[in-house]
Amino acid sequence: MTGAEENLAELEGKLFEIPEAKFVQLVQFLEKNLERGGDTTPLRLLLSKMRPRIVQVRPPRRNTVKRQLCRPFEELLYNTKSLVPVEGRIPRTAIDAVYNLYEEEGDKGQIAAIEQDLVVLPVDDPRCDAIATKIWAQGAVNLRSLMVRSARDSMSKRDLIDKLKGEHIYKALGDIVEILEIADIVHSMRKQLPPRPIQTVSTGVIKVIGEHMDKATKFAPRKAETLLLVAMACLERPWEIMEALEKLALEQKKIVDPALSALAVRALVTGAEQQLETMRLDLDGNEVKPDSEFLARQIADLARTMLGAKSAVQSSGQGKGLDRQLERARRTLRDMVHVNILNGADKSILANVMAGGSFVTGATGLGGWDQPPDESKLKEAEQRAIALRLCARYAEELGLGGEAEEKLSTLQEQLTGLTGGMIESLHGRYMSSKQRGSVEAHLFASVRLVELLAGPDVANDLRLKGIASLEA
Amino acid sequence: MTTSFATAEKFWPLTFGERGVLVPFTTPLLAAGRIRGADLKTAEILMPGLAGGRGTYVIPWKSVLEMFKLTVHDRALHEAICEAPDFSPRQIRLAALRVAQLGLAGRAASGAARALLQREDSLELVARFFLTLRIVERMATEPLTLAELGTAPGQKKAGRILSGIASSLGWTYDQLHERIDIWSRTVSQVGLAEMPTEAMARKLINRLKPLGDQFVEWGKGETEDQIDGAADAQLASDISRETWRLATEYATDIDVTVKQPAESLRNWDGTLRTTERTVHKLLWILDGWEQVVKLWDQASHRPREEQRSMLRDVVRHLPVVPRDELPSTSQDVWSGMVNSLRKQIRPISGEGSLTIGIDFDHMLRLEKLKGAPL
Repeated sequence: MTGAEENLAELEGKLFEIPEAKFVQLVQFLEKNLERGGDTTPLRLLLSKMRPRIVQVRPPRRNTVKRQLCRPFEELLYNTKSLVPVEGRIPRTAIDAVYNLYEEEGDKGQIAAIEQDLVVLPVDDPRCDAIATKIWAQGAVNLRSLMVRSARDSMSKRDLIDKLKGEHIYKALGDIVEILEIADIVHSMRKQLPPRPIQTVSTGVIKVIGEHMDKATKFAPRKAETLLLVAMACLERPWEIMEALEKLALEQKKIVDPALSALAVRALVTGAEQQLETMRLDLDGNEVKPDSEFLARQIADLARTMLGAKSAVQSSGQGKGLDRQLERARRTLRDMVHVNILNGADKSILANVMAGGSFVTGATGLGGWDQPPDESKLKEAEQRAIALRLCARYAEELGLGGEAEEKLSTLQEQLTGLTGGMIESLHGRYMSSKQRGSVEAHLFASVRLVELLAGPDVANDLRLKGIASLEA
Repeated sequence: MTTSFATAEKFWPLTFGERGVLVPFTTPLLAAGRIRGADLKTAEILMPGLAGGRGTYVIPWKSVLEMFKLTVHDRALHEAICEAPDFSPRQIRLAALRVAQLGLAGRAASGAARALLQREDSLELVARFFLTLRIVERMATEPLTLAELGTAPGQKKAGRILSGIASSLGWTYDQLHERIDIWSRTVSQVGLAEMPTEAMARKLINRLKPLGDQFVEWGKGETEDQIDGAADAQLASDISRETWRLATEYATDIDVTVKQPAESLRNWDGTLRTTERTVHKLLWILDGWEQVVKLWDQASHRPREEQRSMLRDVVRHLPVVPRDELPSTSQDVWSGMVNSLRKQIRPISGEGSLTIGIDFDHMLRLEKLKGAPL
């Protein structure tokens, strides 16, 4: 692993620890350097690692035509290394390719003039809306016309796909054009909705979505589907769109449009698959593995998404194909939990907590407890124990039954047994203050792990026994 | 001693002793609990928003272990507080740091506590150097530098200069030395404005005003139907800013005595009495703010709805300055804020009844506060 890779991994881990003001400065600095040209790959990589925090902090970004062009579909953008298209999502890698086409098809002088107007305004300045409307309209007309031209014969289409560097980007171009054609409606909906991700699908939220779907339908019947995908991407729990659709239909005394619900469940299922694939590629591709707690939280999030998608599939009465897709994804996720969290957790935790010496041997009879514990290994052991506890919560849904619980309980017994043995051997023993410091550090580290694995009661018993033994 | 609940009679306490000191528990239900009492027999814990109610519950300190399921960290903290010489902000803070240092709230909390305890130790030394330099600078003609103080010849020189200053005050060298020691020990608890190492109290004061501004900014993002969020932000901002104003006044009083060391030393008994009282007040005023600042820092990278819920938690934690501890000119302002606070504290949600298990995620979040920098 290179130094740069190490730094990136470190940055990813500490992303949320950087003070907000510093973070904003850093983003602005990087973006300014992007404009300078040359090899921007490292800068883009760095910005992609910073994106989760950018989304939350929303620092003032450089206002450009490209940024305005992307505004209507920014919630649909996602990072992926996969080439498989995902329903209702646009890979971030499509932005540059599509923007290059937009520039080629448009009037370069006019684009440069718009850029000049934008650069002095903040991205969310109301004056940008009027300028953005022009950008979206031009983009929709020019890019649609290009797509129509390229669809006339297979050769032209192939040329365009080659130019865009892949079928998945070509598919994304189609999706982008669909959105740009109703960009004003999308923008109006986004403005009226609460900040993303929307946590509660309230009556107000449903009303806004419903009104804008009606407007989109008036533009063209299929455009309601496009708008629905944008609305889903704005939600913290996208599967709740199904309930929203039912409420809207009930209000209009109609049944839910089957095409809409079919699209929604397809988007949910493929979205879950994409999340899984991204996680798999990250785990396989990165030399630096995320810490177990972070991974367990990602898995918990995905398990929740799958559960939501499953209930949406069931309530929509859609075909068995989607059910099978979900079942495949669930099995893959289960294997991932096995490989990355459950397998070897006991050995890893015990080995890390015992780092510095063995529990059962040692020249002093203190089994290595008289040597200070290794801080980094203790941290790793704690993260693994927390991951196990988190994993036990969704083990049932993934078909892991009591496996996680069993692992927790076995591990707790082993750790309690080993620690108890050491406590016995401490009884009445003379120790230097340095040795005593190390012994206490080992004792409390074990107590902490037992608490994480089995709760405070067992752990506290161990602590009290240990203290009594030290004081004897 | 009773083991039953009682609700606090007055929402706005009269004295700091009545208000109590925040105990940084990691058991979510007890997270905003404050201890008060003259001794262990009469000690109580005050819990705002407990048991689905808006009132503040008062529970005998000794019953806490029987009534709640506590984390191991909190059981150890309870023991440590029982052994503390008093229930002042300083003693509770030291007890909390010593327990966190053991690693019972995780490795990050342990590392941070170790560093903070080391800092506490060094602050007294830094304050002594700083005071000595200031006294020499203002009361002697011969200069002395910090670098010199670190060397044997430099210390000899300092001894000679200080002997001269002691004579000018009509004291012996030992008397002056002892008084500088006492003065340093007293001010080191809150630090001095120009001291090279920043004390926790100074860090907190410096954070309070920007914190108030952050709440205002956040409140501006609330829509018309989010009146509760906007009101919470406004109240949190008002209390942060008023506390900052008051704390700054006290901190300035301490700094002024150091800026005029000749006058302060000549009026030694008065200086010591005033400084001790001011330091004591400042520590009580700032008690609980570390938790508030860190809670809001933690919220800064969460989605807005979570921030709104974390702001409710912030409101539950907001420390009020008791009525009789305020200058009369500030009492009206505080009266209004305390009245709003009484209405805006909401019950602790999502934790179930009192004795059921501990919310694991919430416990981890509280532990992270201990490891977070200020």
